[in-house]
Amino acid sequence: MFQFKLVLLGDSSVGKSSIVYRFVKNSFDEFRESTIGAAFLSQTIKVKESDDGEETVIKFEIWDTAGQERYKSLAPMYYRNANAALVVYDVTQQDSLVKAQSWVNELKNKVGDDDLVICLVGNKVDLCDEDAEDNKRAVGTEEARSYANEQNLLFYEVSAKTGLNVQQIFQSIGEKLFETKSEEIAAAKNRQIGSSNDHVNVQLQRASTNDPTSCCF
Amino acid sequence: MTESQANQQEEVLRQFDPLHQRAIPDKDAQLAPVKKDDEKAEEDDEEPFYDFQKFAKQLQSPEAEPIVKYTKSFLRNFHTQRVLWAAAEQQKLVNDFKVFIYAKFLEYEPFKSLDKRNLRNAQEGMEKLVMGKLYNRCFSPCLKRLENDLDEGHKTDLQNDRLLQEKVREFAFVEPRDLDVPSLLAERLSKFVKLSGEELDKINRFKAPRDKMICVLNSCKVIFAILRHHKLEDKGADSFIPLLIFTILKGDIRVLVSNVRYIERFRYEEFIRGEASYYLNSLEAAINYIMTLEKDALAATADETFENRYQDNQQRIQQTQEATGSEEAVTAHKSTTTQSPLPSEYILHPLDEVTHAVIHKFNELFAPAPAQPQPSQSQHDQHAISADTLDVDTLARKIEQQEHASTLDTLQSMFPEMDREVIEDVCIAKKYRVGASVDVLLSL
Repeated sequence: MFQFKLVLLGDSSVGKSSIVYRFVKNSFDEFRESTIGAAFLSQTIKVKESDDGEETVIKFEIWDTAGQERYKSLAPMYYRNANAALVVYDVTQQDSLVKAQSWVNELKNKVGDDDLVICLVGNKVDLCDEDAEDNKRAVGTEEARSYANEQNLLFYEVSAKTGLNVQQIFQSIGEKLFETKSEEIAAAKNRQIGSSNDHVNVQLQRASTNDPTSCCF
Repeated sequence: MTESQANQQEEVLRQFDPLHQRAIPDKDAQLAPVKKDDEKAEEDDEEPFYDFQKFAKQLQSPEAEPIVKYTKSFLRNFHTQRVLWAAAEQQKLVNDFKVFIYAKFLEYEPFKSLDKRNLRNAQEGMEKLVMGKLYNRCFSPCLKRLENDLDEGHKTDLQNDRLLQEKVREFAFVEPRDLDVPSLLAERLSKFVKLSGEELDKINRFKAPRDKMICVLNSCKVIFAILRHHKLEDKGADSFIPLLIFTILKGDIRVLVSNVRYIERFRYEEFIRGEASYYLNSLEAAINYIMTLEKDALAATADETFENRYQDNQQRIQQTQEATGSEEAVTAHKSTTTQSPLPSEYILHPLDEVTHAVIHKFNELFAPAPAQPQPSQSQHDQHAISADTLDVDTLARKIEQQEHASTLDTLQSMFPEMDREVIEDVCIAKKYRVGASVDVLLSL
């Protein structure tokens, strides 16, 4: 079992928490209700290892953030040590994409880790019907996709309401993480050989920075 | 003591373990498709099983002697080698000791043959024992008298405690709308927030980092009970964080910064992953938000009444200061001329007394008691007498009754339309766990 920390960013009206709620509730895997509440959720997925078809279990620990503008300054406390970030906008609100882009910039500038997997997610596609008169779409798919490609982000348009593409977000983040961390994972697996316990948790979060100074008696 | 008495006492003690209060899963959890084997239970951050007395007994067995010796030696060194360690040094020393002694658990009986769950219990017990002994040296407010001689770490804790308190008073008047707190039933909200604040304030009753952590989680649980009731739970952090901040602003919780730092420093790192880590982090974020809160920033997004409300509150602060000013001067004068209170007096509240008494009893083997940073004979005497004459069983019952009565009062004030008997029934059914009781009462 490999654990990854995933942080959720996006404006308060874009429904970022609903996406995760949908993912956690709908998943096929057994899932244990979080004991406190919905700001922290965890869920496992299975990722296929390419060469031998063997499956690896990945557990996401999902850290939600407050999306209101006034709480923006708290975000760094949440995304430090994250392995992945879900940056969510609302396809019916043009300015929510602008905000999402500023999150992407901040992550790239402040986290400074090439291994951080960022996924841009446009929510509420259920409100878009290209043929209908009341089509609410304000952000074109291609506009967002080309931005995501430019920035080397994963990209999905989803609906937390219908569940469309929600599972895929986490599946592809899992696969990408598995790919980028494959060396660490292999090393961790080797360490497990000989251990009777197949489910050793391997923490791949980066070590905390507040290293106590050394001292001794 | 007869066996049945001992069992009874154990049972009573367990009720005071804050984690034990969480042992029964929420009703939602029971609905979830739970497929739990031992493996799954192990990986949980939450350990529904915790029994300090059991650990105390294990430690008394003859085979455990090396463990006892290592522990005594560590405690002695910690106390005698230096009067004041820097916070970072303390963190390192305590952590190194835990790594060391947890490894030794695997070498010596009775710990060696414990299963994973019971081993964890012993590890928790050791952390509680050690931090109970070192609390007066490690928890920044206990060192307040020595503030001028403290290292940056402890000093900063004390400064930030004061800063937070000032900010809380400056902004205590804010309305939910000023902070994007979801608009809930206004009248109920203030009572709920009072309750989540009271739960958080219990952090000052405990010495063990784990027990303090549980208080944080219980407070967050109350907040989520409010949100769940108003169908706002799936808004996640968007609704949770503002309410947590609101709780701190309305609750005026003592020395909160020092408490958070203490948990971070002295809770064994492996025990604070996942959910616990998230909520501790959120508490820290909420504290930071308040400590850096400026009037103009808040006014910019608030309505036109903000300025008036702010000025009214400023006036109130000034009036209170004038009213208490003379009193404070007297107290300040007193404290320089008479003995300052024993640090534990400041911290040791009823709930911890039971555990404290137990620690004290079996811990006579750790005698002689290490000196306080500024020992004073009369303080020691007082301390010894209270522990010796303590009838643990009676005390435990008394405290329990007080606790239950106060929980009932709080809930009654939140649900004035309900019969006290109904509330009491719910409390009994839910074993006086506040979060769960509130959940049920809301659904009635």
